[in-house]
Amino acid sequence: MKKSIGDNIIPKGMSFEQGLQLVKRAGYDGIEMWLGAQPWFQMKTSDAEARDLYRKIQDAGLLVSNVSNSLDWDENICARDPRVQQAAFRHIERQLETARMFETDAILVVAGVVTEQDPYNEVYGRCRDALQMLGGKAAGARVKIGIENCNSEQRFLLSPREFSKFLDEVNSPWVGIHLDVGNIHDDGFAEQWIEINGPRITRIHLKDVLKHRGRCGNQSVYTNLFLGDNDWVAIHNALQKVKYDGWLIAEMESRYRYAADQQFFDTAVAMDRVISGRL
Amino acid sequence: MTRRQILFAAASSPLLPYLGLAASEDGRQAARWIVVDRRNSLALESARGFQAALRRTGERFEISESVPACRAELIVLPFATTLLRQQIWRLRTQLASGCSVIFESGTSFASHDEKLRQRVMWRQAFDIHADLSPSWPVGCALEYVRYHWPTDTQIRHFGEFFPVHLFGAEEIAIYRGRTVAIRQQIGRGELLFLASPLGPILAAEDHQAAELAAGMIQHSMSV
Repeated sequence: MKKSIGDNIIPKGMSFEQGLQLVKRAGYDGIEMWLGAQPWFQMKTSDAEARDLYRKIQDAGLLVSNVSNSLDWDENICARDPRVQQAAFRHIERQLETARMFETDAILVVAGVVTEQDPYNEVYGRCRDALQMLGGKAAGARVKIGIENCNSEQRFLLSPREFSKFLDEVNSPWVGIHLDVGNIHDDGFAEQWIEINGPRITRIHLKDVLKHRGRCGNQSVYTNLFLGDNDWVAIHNALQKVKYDGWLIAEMESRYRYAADQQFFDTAVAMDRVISGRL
Repeated sequence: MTRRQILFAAASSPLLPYLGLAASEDGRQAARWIVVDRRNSLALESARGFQAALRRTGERFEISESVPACRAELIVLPFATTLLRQQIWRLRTQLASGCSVIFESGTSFASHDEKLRQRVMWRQAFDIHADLSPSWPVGCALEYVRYHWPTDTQIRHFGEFFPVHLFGAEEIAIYRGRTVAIRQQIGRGELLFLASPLGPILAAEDHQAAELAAGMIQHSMSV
């Protein structure tokens, strides 16, 4: 397995190049590029500028693990408003295009946000139909779409079995699950999500979760690896069971208040322990 | 087939769909059989798992309450408990003539006396010797049964088991360092003895278990 971390965690005031140097020094193999999260990678970023970003990544001795986006929360494929849905399709297609430029084969999409106004079944049907269409585009680009499990924030696809059945309905080998082991909260167990969805996992986000803080209250439920309630031995063993050998990507939602660069090093060491099973 | 078995089969066949088990895939007689004790809910669950595995391979099969007397290529005994002497004799006859038998032990959740009876039966029927069931601390970390034949696969452990001795057999799976599945040549046939259940894991649609069972079934066709 290889280690990666998102460019969205590069501390404010640091340039992209400085951030890449930090990622490399901390021992990562690659970087996760977040469309819409940092000034250097936006929807308005041209192809030439995107290629320049990739050149810098290569110069730093890194790979791109995948292309994620921070835009789905406002522009989701489940939107009732066709203009919003079209905007979601555009940024996902841009993810597919840039994934090819960055020579990676996976993107992350948050599909579906259930609210008081957007009921579950409506979101379900629209997401399924949209992903069947996007699966064709992903096949054309030879890039897999990984649907992230944002259980509590999305209030959608809340169990590993339902997620698996949803993917059955989408029925495309180019649409899988981008599994976040920290997002499961008290709805279940990350290792069971790995077991049930193993062959369809495109990438894995690593973070820990403090289940006693509930779901998404005022205090962050997320924390650094090994400080929360995830069973990391079980997660390691489940990854071995399903023979997952892809990217592990740190997604540290709680940031260090001081010495922000130290979080990169500490997280990399913790990820090494998850990979080796020295837990 | 005895008169009693004919009457039992006739009486119980209408119930089979309600038990989640079809009597056979079509009207013809199959060379592959699942022999299941329909009174045992775990045997039924396990049988559903093996049924799904056989379906995936496209092999035709039949489901029966007793070991078939006619020539068979593969017989699966899901969650098998203590067998009657005649059933053991038929199994040995089938093995002698080149049949593959997948014998999944039904010791999990059985009473202490039943476990002891099964141990004796394994020894007398197949010369398989087993230790007493070890007890593990409650709440210990998730570990898997590791198969190294026919594929390198890990599946969840399910219930209790008796670690088995090799005595010339080939180990095919371990759990916490103890042998929990073997394969052994008996006559011209081969016995796969699973001391840790596989069928319920198959019924739970575990991907790796499905690959493992497919490999076992495929191998059984080549014996």
